[in-house]
Amino acid sequence: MHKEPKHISQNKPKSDLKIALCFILPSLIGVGIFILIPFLDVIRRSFCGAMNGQFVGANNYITVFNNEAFKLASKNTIKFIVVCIPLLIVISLALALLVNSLKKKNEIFKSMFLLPMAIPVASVVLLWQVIFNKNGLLSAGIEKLGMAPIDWMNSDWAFWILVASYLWRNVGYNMVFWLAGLTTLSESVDEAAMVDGANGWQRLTRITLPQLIPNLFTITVLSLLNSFKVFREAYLIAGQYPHDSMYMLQHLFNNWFMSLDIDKLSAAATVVASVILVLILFLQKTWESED
Amino acid sequence: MNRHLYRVLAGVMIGVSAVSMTACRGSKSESNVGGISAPNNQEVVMGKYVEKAIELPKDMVSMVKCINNADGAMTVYGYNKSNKFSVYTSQNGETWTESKTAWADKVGNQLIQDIIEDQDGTVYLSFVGGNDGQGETRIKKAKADGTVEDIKIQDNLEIILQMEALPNGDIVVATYESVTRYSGVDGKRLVEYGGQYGFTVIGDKIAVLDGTGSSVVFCNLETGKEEEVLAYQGLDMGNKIISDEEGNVYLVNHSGINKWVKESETWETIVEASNNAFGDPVLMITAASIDQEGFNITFQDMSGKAQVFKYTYDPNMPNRATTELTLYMLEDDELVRKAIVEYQRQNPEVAINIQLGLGNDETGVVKEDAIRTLNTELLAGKGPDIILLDGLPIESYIEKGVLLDMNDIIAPMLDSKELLTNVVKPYYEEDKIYGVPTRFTVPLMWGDEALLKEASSVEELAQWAEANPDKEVLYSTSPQRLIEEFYGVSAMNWLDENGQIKPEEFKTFLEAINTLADQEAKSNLTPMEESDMNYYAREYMAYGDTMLATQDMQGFSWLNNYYSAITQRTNGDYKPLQVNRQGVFRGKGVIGINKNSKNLEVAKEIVKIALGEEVQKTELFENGFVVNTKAFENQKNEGIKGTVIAGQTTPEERPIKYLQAGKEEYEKMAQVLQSVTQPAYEDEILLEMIIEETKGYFDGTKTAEEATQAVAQRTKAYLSE
Repeated sequence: MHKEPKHISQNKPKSDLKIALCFILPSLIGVGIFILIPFLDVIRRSFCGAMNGQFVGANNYITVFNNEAFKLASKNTIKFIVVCIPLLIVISLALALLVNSLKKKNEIFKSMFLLPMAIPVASVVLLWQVIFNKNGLLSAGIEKLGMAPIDWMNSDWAFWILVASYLWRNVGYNMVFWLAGLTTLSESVDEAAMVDGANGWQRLTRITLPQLIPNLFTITVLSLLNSFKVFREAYLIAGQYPHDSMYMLQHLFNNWFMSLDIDKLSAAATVVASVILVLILFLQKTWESED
Repeated sequence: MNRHLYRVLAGVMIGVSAVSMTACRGSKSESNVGGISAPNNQEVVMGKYVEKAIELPKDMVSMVKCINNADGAMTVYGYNKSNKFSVYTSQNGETWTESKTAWADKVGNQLIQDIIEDQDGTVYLSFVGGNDGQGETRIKKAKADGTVEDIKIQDNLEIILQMEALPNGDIVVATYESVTRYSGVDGKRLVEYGGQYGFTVIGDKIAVLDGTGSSVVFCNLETGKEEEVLAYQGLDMGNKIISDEEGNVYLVNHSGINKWVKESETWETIVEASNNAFGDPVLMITAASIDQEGFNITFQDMSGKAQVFKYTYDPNMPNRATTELTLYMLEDDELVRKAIVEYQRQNPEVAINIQLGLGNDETGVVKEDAIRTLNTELLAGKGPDIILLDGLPIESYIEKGVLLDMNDIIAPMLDSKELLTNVVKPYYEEDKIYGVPTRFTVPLMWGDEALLKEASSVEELAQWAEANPDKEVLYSTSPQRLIEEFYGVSAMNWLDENGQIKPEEFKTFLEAINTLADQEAKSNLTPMEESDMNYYAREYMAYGDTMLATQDMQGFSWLNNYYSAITQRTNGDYKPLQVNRQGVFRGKGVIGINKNSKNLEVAKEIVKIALGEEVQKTELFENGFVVNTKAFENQKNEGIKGTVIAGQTTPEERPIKYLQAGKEEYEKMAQVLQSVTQPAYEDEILLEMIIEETKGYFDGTKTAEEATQAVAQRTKAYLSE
């Protein structure tokens, strides 16, 4: 009589694992076939010649690290991430707090801020051309102020236009995540602090934000991954070789594939994937320690 | 209960996964990868139409019509070497005898458009422009007894595409506009059938090609009333329609021979355009007929020479090829296509699929997507066997080992002087050659003899222009166009060994362009305007208003025009654009072989055929000089004979007296063409960037230094990749 419950409790987790595996299996197979296995092949190729498959050691990595185009693309990509992600997090959080405070009408605002995500990239690109072309709306505007027209996408402004576009498209998406976090917070704690005499800023920094830390990890990782998608806009508007300031790693990867530089492409892709993985693990570690 | 439910659900999920995996595998094996179809293990079906070329009478220079008689004999009407109208007959299509007809001398010397025979042996002839040469259409009826009657057609038809005599003597005529029945006695219009281009009479019906290009319409022969419509997409004037005794209809066009079985709903392609004349890019279908043995199709090449092929059904011929290859080209190349047809004619057991990267205009595929797709195939080891490298990253393909070293086939051709060494040898990298041009063009400067002696490059021209400010070197040319013309020649001067731009040298190039360019010239000319500008440039050079005119020579056919211009100028000459004192040429139709091809020997044979005399001497109007020595000589000799002449009609702002260049001039041109040894630098992306970044300099908003810096900055990443 004493052993039976023990026997059940030992078997139950095993059975759950099997069932869990069964449910994960279809997705796992898909990820394995379409992502993991190809990526393993990319890692293999990063140590081989482009087409002959001969082992070349770390030569491809040395070539990549000495490549001026890789340096420029990495610099631009890092600059883009460093500028965009903090801005995106702060702006989306501010908007989320604002929308959250509008108890009744916040649904309308949520939809409005999500609207940019629903606009097809091709339409966004068309919009850019109308606005930022040398003969576009923006140039027409500054011409009226007596200034010379600017080919915005072929000037140093190109980078900041790309940043603005990224923020415009993603701020609503992140705001929804923040709002999800905000709705889980207990109002009673906030009310208790208010009764104790804490002002709005103190309640935000001492009560609300600390409780939103778990959301920060998810939002940061998603923002990081989404930041790579801005390539679509950059590519569609400026092609394979845009202005120097918006020449991203994806441009380089795309162009290397065009010239069949698979060796360099594989090495660079491995480097970038490793950096992203390390970054995510670091964020996770930080989050866990905060937790 | 719950556990049971979980197990069922888990089982279902595993099942779904397994099924989806199976489905994936199944669909992959059935599909063609990147448009390349691989031979499978299906049993080979026997029975196929076989093509046989009919050797036409040797004396005949220009054929008008080939008619297959009911008894199996053939009659050919045409003009002989003395430009005399002649009639030849043959029982077997191999040996010909000239027939004497009682009427041949009575039809006059006017150019005959078409000839038909009726059941009684009466011959009907239609003439270009009619008897009076004023556009009035006349048809003559020549009887066996030698009498020739005029039939004055009521309408002015100008060009008759097809003609047929009905048993009652009436004549049905197809033109670009209509299909109409006329009286065989007085030429009076009797019935209009609608449709155009062609027709076939089937008993009491007539089937005509619909003018909208989407159907064949059956009408009542007597009343013209529409009775039945048979859908067929893509009809045009290149289609010929014929019918057999059973009432089946055949459409003959560049897709092959398509059969409609009477009272059925669909068309069946019985002769596919591939390894036959239908697939030949330089042949145009001019006539088709059917007899007991099969089909007789007349084609015409670009020089107007007729070729007749007979298609007969051979039940013992395998329907499918035993070997399949794929040839990839970004854009269609007629000469390479011709080589494919020629090889397949010689080797019917081999099928060669042509994969067009950019497809036709309707596909909307851009170059980048096409190259990406090709690279994916190459990476997967399933790329095409033969690659036409024009527009593709050749250097990268060579560096990555994609291409096969073709030295074993090219070296013997060079040793035997079969190929022009000056054009082919520069494609060697040490002792290996991965791509070989099938044709080439040469950018030439025409004009003032003294200046040509003094200057060879854009920089030297600019220096001369600065020293002689009262003279205009080139006719109104935009900076953009000048960059396009001179960039491929000068790039070797301002690119360093790492491929980066040398600022000082590039600045000099830009300043030279600025000196020579007409700042007022519009930079966005339409192709038609560009063409007109070329004419004007030649005219103004001929009158001495400008010193030079440039032209990328694509064939001997332009020589007469430029020869006329420099003769009129009196002190004229020409020479190729040069870099480091070496004449520059542009290779075209550069062909290579995929190292991973499973059919390397076949691929090599195809390359050899593409470079061989037979294919290279095909007249491809203004498509480059050929690299085969004998074919090049042939091109030159055809030019001397004046067979192909281009550009006689000009805008004539300053009319030039047209002269025919003599043998000496052609020989001189051939020498110049055989002296160029430096392939032009080709990089479309770099060219686009330069044009984009230097606009500011030419419109005065940037200095040369700033433009150079902008170009260097903009191209740095590209050139570093």
